[in-house]
Amino acid sequence: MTEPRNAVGVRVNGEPARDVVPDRLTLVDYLRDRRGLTGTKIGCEQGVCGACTVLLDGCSVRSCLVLAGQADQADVVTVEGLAAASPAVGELRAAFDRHDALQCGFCTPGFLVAAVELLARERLDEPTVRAALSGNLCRCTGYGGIVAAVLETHERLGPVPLAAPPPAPEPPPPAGRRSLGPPLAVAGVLLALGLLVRRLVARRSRTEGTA
Amino acid sequence: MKPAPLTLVRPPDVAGCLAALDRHDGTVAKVIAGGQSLMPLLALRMATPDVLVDLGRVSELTEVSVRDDEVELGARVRHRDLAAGTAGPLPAVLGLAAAHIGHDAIRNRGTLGGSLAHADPAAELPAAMVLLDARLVCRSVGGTRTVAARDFLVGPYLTALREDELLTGVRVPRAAAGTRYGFAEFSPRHGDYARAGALCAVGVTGGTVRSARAVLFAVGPVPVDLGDALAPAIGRPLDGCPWDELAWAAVAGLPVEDPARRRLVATVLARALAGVGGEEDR
Repeated sequence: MTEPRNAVGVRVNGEPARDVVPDRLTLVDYLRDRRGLTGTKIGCEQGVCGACTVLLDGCSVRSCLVLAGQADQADVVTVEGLAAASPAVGELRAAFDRHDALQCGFCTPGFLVAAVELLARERLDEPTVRAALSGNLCRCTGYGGIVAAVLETHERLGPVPLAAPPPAPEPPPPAGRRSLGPPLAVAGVLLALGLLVRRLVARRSRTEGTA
Repeated sequence: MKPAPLTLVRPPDVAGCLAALDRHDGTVAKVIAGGQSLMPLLALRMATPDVLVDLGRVSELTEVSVRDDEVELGARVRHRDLAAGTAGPLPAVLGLAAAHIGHDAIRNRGTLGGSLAHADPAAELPAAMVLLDARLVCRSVGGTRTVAARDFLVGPYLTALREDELLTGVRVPRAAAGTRYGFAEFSPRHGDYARAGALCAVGVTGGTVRSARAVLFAVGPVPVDLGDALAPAIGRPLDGCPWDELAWAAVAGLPVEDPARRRLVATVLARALAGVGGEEDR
């Protein structure tokens, strides 16, 4: 039997793309293998560990429990694009650093995505954070630092709602309606200039090296 | 840990779903909504359907209709909306039950219809439907029928839903004035499956108990309705009602042999009853 396939259009971190994928492909495999976004990790592949947590249309979901085809026409945010989805991410990252909230880092992308959704809440206390993050498993550093980092970020910033996804880009004009000539020419000149500069720099450093 | 090859169809409306489920070629179709129970089964290849009928594009299944005597919830109403109380004027016990399902990321996708059609014996919402005397709307190309929740749930992961039928919604009767609810469950880890759980509805007038019902889950193959086992509470004042004693008596007739397990079941029931809110419900 030939593997059933279908086209899916998923906007990931604001970037639209259209791919033909097997119907059984999970969203996490799509993000990692087709979109090259390997920040999202695959842990258990059965919805237990939370390592593959991403935002799907503004809500945290486990991307191993969603088929790529189900995300057709949806907006996905992975850890790579998280900073654009929530202004709290910079502070959160710094707090993770301060509190040693990661060790091997495998679970961290999932925790960051879950935490960003949590930081939008009006009030947070330790039991709430622990309960909310209990869907994400960490097997090396323990949860104390992670909980402390989330609480500290909330204390500093207050509730930080998720940013609305950027408006959908204009659909590209039908082929042939607009000439691609001028932009292509400009890009060509820039590319040639870039290569020239690179070569000059390379030659210079080589000469310096032998001198 | 990848699903076996399958064909995913995403009809835009209920009619399209029903047509996709009306199969006569020997192939097996399964309905997927949030997928929070089905996707692990697909990944483990415990389920290997030929076709998945995804409800993700069927917006009519997210609708909530409020009528004089009942609220009809579309099958795609998400746990998150039930838990947040934003799904409509519903008995508070539904929110309590939904808030105990999994974690945020699960509740963000999991649906009411999915939980009912999956019929896990440890699930909260099927038990809530039995307590609330809800009726489930099952549609096929041949027509529509409604089935009482207690008749819908046949066994562990077994329902009265036929292979060509789609669970499109749930009709929840409005609660009688003065009904208050309680909920309790025990699970070894937050968000994990319950080892035992209880939901109860207590009718109160002027501080006196007028009716008391409870349904247990994760105790038998289907939710266990305790019937009139709590009748001894009737006529007592709500404050200071000896719920512990009543709970132990109510579970005495259950086929639970292990004394530790019996204690667990009695305890969650007593906690649910003791937690019956002071606020009257709609």
